[in-house]
Amino acid sequence: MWAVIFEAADDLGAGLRDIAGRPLLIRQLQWLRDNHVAPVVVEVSDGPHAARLAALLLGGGEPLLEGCIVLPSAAPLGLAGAAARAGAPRGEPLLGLASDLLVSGALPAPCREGRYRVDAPPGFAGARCEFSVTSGRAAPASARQHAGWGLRIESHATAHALSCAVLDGRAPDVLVHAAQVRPGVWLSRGARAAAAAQLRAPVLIGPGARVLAGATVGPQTILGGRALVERGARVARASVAEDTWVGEGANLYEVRVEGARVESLADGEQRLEADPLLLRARRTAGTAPGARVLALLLVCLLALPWSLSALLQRARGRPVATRRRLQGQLLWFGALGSRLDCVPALLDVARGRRDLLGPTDPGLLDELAGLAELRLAAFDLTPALARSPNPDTRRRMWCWYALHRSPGLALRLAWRGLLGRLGG
Amino acid sequence: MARPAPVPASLTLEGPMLTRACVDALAAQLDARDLAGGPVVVDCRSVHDVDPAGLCALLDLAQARDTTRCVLVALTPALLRSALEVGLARWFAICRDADAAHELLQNGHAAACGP
Repeated sequence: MWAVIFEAADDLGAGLRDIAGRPLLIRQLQWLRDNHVAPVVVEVSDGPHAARLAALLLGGGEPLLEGCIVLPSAAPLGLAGAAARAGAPRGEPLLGLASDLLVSGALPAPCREGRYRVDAPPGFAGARCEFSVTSGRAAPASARQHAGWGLRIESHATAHALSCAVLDGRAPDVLVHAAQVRPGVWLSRGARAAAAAQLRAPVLIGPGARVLAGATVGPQTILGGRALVERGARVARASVAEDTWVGEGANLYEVRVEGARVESLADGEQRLEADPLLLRARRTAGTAPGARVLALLLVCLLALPWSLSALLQRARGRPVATRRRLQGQLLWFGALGSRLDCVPALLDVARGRRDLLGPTDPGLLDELAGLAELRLAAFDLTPALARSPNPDTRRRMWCWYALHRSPGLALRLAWRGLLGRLGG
Repeated sequence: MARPAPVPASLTLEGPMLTRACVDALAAQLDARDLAGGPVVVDCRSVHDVDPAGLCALLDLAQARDTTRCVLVALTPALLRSALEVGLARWFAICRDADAAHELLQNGHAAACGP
């Protein structure tokens, strides 16, 4: 039997929500696999979540995704539209599952057509939801009761509540990929907690995550993979996304944290945490040593002409450079209005605060926050990356570059840009 | 009596790398056939790698023309990933294979008429 996980119309990207250490989409695929339902079509609608889902679905490394049919769409197609585009055979039963619905329990054998109603797991007051099995591409009229439970994961708060229920053993059908070292205290592979750290159940420490001495984590806390909680930090009733660094003295309560982004689990309000000493993404690869040395050499080379221009600018009573905080970094921006404005940026590169090459657009950074690490660069590669008069094309190509950036790609684009300039 | 749906034209996006030249060739194929908005199925199975210039050209092509009746099929993982990242589905309908695209276009399924 085929299955289609179609995007919930009012909740795009729900499949990325974390359920006890694994994305909801992976949990859904696991349930389908347990019930021998294959192949599975996964619809991905256009939006800020699409790149993350693409990385999850096509990045490799997840055996459950082998054989999945990934179907991009401009807007949610629904069960019929997604099934048609995926080439699902007509007249054969097809299981339709909304992307925000997690279901547990065995399907009946044989699985007859109908709408299957599922009740929320014990302790959850969520509304009754349903999935369908149909061969006609339209929702069947008959309704049945499914033996297991199901829950619409409509927000990070719901995902967090379910995760805590899983860790507490109140939703036993969901497997935790970690070892339970004490009742309700789970440590994933490679996770480490100092002897002097306090872990209060229920708590899950993700793969490769670390809790340093003096930190208190839990209760009701999920630490994502490679997260780091520094000494003295307190994290309770919170969800910390992977690769997030929680600084010394930080006090997180009832929030979801991803890099420097904080979302209240109580009311869903989002804000950007300004202080990088308390919260930031760990995955700041930093500037490559070669780029820092090269930037320093270029600064030495350009120091004399830049100093002369700066003196002239000063004499006119205008600023030479300004300093702005972007993505938690205090960065210099030249104000000479000439190509020598790259010198302050090069100083930032030498300090390891930004990259040497790449597209630059502060507006883009806000859009990309949470998608990828794109920091302002000293030299803009846009002419080589997106030689297009269309601003939308350029913006999309910047997004693409942010997701694929590598030294090799940057050099290739720099070389192409150089050739383009030489060729006029 | 209902008029039969026009037979979709089948074009190919040449690989193995999606370059600006490939996209220019596709644009030339579209021009040569004078498709006048008729349905087109573009087979992408030979595109195994993506060059930024080619992707940029494909986005420009999509935005410069009416591609609402243009269906991309058989996308390889590399192209599929880039398609998701830049949102190609906003301009092109994307189907798993040519059969699904033909069936959709010929049956006039609502989901096929536009991305």
